[in-house]
Amino acid sequence: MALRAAVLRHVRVAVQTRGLESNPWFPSGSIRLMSSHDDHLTKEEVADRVLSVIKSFPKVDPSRVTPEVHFQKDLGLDSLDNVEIVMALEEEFKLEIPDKEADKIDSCNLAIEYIHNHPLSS
Amino acid sequence: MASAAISRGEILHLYRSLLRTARQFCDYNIREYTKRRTIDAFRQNQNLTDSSAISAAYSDGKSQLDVAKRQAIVYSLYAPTIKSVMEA
Amino acid sequence: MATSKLLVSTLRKSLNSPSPSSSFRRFSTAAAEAVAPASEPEDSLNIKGVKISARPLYLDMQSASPVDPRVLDAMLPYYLARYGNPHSRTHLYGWESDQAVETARSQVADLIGASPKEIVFTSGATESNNISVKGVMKFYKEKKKHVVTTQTEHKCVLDSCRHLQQEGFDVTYLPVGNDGIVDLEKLKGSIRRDTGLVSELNVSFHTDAAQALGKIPIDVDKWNAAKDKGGAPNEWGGQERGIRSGTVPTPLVVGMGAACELAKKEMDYDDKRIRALQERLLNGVRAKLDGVVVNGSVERRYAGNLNLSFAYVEGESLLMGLKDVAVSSGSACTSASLEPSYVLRALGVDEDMAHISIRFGIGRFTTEEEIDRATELTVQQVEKLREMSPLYEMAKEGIDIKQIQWAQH
Repeated sequence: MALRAAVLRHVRVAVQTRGLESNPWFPSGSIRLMSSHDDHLTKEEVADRVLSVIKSFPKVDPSRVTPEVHFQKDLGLDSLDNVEIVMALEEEFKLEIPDKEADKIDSCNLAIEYIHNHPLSS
Repeated sequence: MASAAISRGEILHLYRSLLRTARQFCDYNIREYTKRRTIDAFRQNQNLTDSSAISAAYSDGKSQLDVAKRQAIVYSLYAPTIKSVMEA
Repeated sequence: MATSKLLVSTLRKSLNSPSPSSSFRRFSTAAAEAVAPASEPEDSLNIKGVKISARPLYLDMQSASPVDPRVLDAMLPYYLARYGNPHSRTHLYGWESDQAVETARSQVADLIGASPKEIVFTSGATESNNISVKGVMKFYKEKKKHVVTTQTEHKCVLDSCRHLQQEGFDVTYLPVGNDGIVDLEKLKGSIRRDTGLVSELNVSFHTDAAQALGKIPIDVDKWNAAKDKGGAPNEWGGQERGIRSGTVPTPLVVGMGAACELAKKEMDYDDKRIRALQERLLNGVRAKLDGVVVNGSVERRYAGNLNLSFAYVEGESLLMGLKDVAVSSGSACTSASLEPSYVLRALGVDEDMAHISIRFGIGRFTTEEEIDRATELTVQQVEKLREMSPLYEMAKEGIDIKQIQWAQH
């Protein structure tokens, strides 16, 4: 238990410092391996919840939301909405996404990818 | 006082920081208000073009953020153990 | 020594133990309160014999309203390091407090369109009204002999006016309409060459200018007709210009100043929102219930204050039933559309009780969700009470209640 917490803390730091130079949507590989516990969310679960968060955003027409949509280009949202959506996702998955990375999440796909790969999402 | 132009990134960063701080208020009404007021203020100022107006709004937002950060702590120190019916 | 040890261990225990046993709590209440005033028992509390497990949603903003965190933030430094007496002239502590008081004076003046010199900090509305009514008139007693006020004015103003009458001043008490509003023509007509002061309640019923401050735009030149007609004093002179003695409490004054500055900045935003919430509440209730009476003028009212009566429902019972909504009683003054009071008298309902209404007070921090919840709970409760009311049943069957011959009790 304590070990897991220590590992996760380490992973979190790694995520933040390694940043997104090589693969913006996730330092996959080793980290993914370490964090793939039984209780980790499946990609389908993540996708479902991401989509429902976005569908429930007041300015969004839910019928237009698919995993492929881009928040600003396809849903008519602006950069402020984008910030709010990412914050809503943080709340849904109990994460805190660093600014640098949050700024890059601008579509459903990227959100699903990021959250699915995040070791702490729940 | 000359002020450097405020970047879009800085503004979005301030927006996110204010919303994050709002979230930390344990008081239901203050939390909701801080969130609502932040969103409405940024919406209202969204179309500002004059750079001095932008930097005035930005520095006002900055000082609001400082107040909110301090007060979120103060409120947490005196949080009632019984929640509002709105959260129960 | 023993006591302090006990206190420390009590404190430690209360910090560590998530659910202190009741015997422990009884033992430690006093100590815990002295050390940590914020601590309350776990998930429910007993107060006035009522077990409460959640804080009711608060719609009683005309009774008291929360301090804005931005105001508290301005005040706190003056409770901590900056505790000087603003009247101390010999050191930094005094100077910084003095400066803060003067800043606050400007902030208040700025909100109401006055000069800082015209702002006198007092202990509250009663003292203010006393000073202004008696003070202004005594100041002008050579030239001005006449005061105009309204019949519904706050008691302390009426008391001051009566006092002036005994000293030989003339006082005109203007009547108000059913909606609680003064006829402006009558007001104009009542003003004479020797009128020194017009004192008028701004927010209808139960409230006064101290409450209107920062909620509706007030310009003292319009608000206080003394300025137009007689010219209000421009110079008071002295510590609070000699008008009152006693130290000005810096933190409170700083808070007042900060609140005024904030009010000026937020007035449009707050007003629009509060108006919308009031409409939401009224429309929500009316969509589900008939016989909803708004007491006071609907159009020309301060939006944060919605005073409602429900036909066939006793206000007191409704108040008691609304456990999850903190509201106050108001007075229903338009009895016309409610059942006639003799009917209620015949039923043994006390006249005063028959005219209790519910006063919903909406403020800056009220949420839409709270309004919706309050609407739902009010509708529920009114429906429940009407189900038990024989009068309501008769009215639904088309019986004209006014035609019924009631046996006298």
